[in-house]
Amino acid sequence: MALLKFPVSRAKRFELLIRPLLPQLYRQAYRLCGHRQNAEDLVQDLLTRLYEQRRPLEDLDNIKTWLLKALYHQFIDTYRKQKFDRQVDGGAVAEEALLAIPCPLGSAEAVTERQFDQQRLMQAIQSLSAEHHAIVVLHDMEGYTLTELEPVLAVPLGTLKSRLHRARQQLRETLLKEPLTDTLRVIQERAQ
Amino acid sequence: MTITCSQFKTYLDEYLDGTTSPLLTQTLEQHVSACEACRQLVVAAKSLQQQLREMPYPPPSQNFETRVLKKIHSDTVPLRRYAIAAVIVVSLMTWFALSPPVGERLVANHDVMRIELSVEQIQHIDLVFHSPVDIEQATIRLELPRHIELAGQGDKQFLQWEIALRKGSNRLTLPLIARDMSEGQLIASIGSSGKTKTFHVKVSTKLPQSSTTSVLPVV
Repeated sequence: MALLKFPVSRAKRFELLIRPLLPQLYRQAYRLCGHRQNAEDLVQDLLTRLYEQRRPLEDLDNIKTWLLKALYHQFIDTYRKQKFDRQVDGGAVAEEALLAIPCPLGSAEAVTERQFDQQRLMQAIQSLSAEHHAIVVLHDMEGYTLTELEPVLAVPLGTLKSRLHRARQQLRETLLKEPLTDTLRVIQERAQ
Repeated sequence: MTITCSQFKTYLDEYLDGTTSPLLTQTLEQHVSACEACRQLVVAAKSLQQQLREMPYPPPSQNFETRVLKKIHSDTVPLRRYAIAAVIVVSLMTWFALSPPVGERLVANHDVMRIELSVEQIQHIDLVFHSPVDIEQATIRLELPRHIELAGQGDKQFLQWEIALRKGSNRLTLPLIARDMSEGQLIASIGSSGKTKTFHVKVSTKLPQSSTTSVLPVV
């Protein structure tokens, strides 16, 4: 006797589609929020909203880009409503993050230096406005081109260029007052 | 063409992203090779870009995926609340076929059946469709009476999906839960190539009792 399969529930279909994309969504959310709990909450809020909209995600041409756009707008909305303070993970979490990647220099001193640099860098990014912060995250960290970001952020290319210019300028000004250890090392190496 | 440091800084971001024209790139590189301050600026900016790309992030908390998807599944019915009771087999026979041609009826149209379900228990109803030929694309539609729920599907009263029928018997198991002591009709229809056959199953309810199996005869 042949067995007829029951249709997969909408919740299951949603999960099958979204689960493989959760690591990417979390990473992008973390880079926007700079805080693990806030990033997880941002992703949860986003997915709940998307599920409740009952939009068939299977029909989307590029679900990754579509999700990035939804995440960005969720982040901006949340930030504007000041649902969470833009705080930076420190201490144990930053250490956990650093331990997750191999440190090429290996020594305890190098790890400490690198950890300090990463925290300073994260704080500098968090000090930017939400829009400037987002362009740095999505372009410089996530690697999207400005042309790709134009429809995602729903901002004209010219505005994106000037936004990126101002964001980078502010970052450089903040960080070059007291250069990061890695940056200093590179400059010193080039000078020799 | 020569440029000033101020002009160089204007083009710095496009230069870093590699989006300047070949001619402008050449001009900018000539300036960098001659200007120590701008050379250091480029080195520092490139180093900053590399650190941004390599910025680590902590892994999500251990139950992140479960937690984040939990609410999505909150509209499904937790099956553990219910005891699993009898298996009831309802045997249905398709009357249409892609071959032989249109009009051949394989069973008479006296297809109203009756089942009785215990309240607040999951009972598996096997709908058995008999088909004289393979049918690659058929549509099944279920309409549930208001007091009956399909376990795991929340309060959905209608379901429709595509299915392939094999020649012979095809079993579809429905986990049904009766919500209260009421009566109604479960309507199952199956269609293909513009022809549809509908079956009516009268569903009544009773108070829970020990497990029994009732098998309805083939129509």
